[in-house]
Amino acid sequence: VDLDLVEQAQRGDREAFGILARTRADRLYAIGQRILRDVGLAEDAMQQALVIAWRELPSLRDPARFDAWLTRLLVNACYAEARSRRAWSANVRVLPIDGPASSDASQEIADRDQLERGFRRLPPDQRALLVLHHYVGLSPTEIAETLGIPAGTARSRLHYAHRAMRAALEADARPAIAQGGA
Amino acid sequence: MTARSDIERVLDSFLAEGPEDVSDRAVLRALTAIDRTPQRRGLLAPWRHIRMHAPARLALMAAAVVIAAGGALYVLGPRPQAGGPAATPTAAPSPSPSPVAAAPSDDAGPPFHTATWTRFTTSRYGYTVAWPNNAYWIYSPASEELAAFVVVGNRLYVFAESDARQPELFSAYLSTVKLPGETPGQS
Repeated sequence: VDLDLVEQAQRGDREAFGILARTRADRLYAIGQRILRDVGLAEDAMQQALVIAWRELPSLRDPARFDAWLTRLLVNACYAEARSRRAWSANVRVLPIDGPASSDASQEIADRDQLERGFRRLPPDQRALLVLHHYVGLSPTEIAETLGIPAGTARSRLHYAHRAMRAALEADARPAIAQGGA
Repeated sequence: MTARSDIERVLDSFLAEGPEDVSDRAVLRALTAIDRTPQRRGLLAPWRHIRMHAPARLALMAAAVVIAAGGALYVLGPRPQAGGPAATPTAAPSPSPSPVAAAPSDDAGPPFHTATWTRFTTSRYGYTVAWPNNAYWIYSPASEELAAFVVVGNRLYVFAESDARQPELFSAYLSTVKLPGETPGQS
């Protein structure tokens, strides 16, 4: 963490915060895109997190925790973006991939599509946990510190997120039944 | 994809895919929004700019205790015996040359000067506690859990710290404990 920059920004130095924002933007965007599965929403979440970070920075007690705090702001911004687009997303109907799946490439695409659908079925908080663990590489304890929840809760939620993902993939493997009931 | 380890492996691979770099346009848009946003400043904000805010808080509390103890000493200190000569109004004490405002220790005695007080500065936190050189004050060095404690009259003032491994959760606590038995120095 660039402690000097954080402290300067806390004192209202916009230039210092601009440097912090530029060096964190890619990471925030990449995390947001993986949670929200949408480039536009991820950009909005990144912007929202940075604006809130700037506005609330004087209240950050420990500058060394700037990055963890910023990640939490981003996750919260992702929740807000997901909520604001829930009605729209609910109307999206996922269509099965047509065509033969004989080649390895086609199978790979089908698998990825299945994963995408399964992941999108998860609520945003479970997606966030999975992204922080599998993409950012945080341990359950680090996730707990980042999100401000007890470590046991983080472990439990991560367990349920894995289970939900597995269930979502299994549900996706039964498209005929699911679509027949829709 | 049924075993948990399979799920984890698949998620590792799945989430590794995707964009890593945000567009310059999006960054510019965010910076523009930041430029239009004022920074929120609460009443306590200036204190939070201090890197060593926790020791500063301790020092502040230590100073508060010293001031409070001085007041308590003034109020609860030795009084003229009942039936003795009535207290007569006296002229206000002249300004003290000491660095800290002086206060009368009792009705008849001279004002005490903080310049002669015993001082202790913690090497760990940097704050200083000062107390008069009399039997009312007893200082014991800090342990791992207690930063300092001071006995004033029949009360024990304790400075304690929370978990220093999580400085963002740091809190300084001040508590008083009424001591049993006779008060030191009041025989």
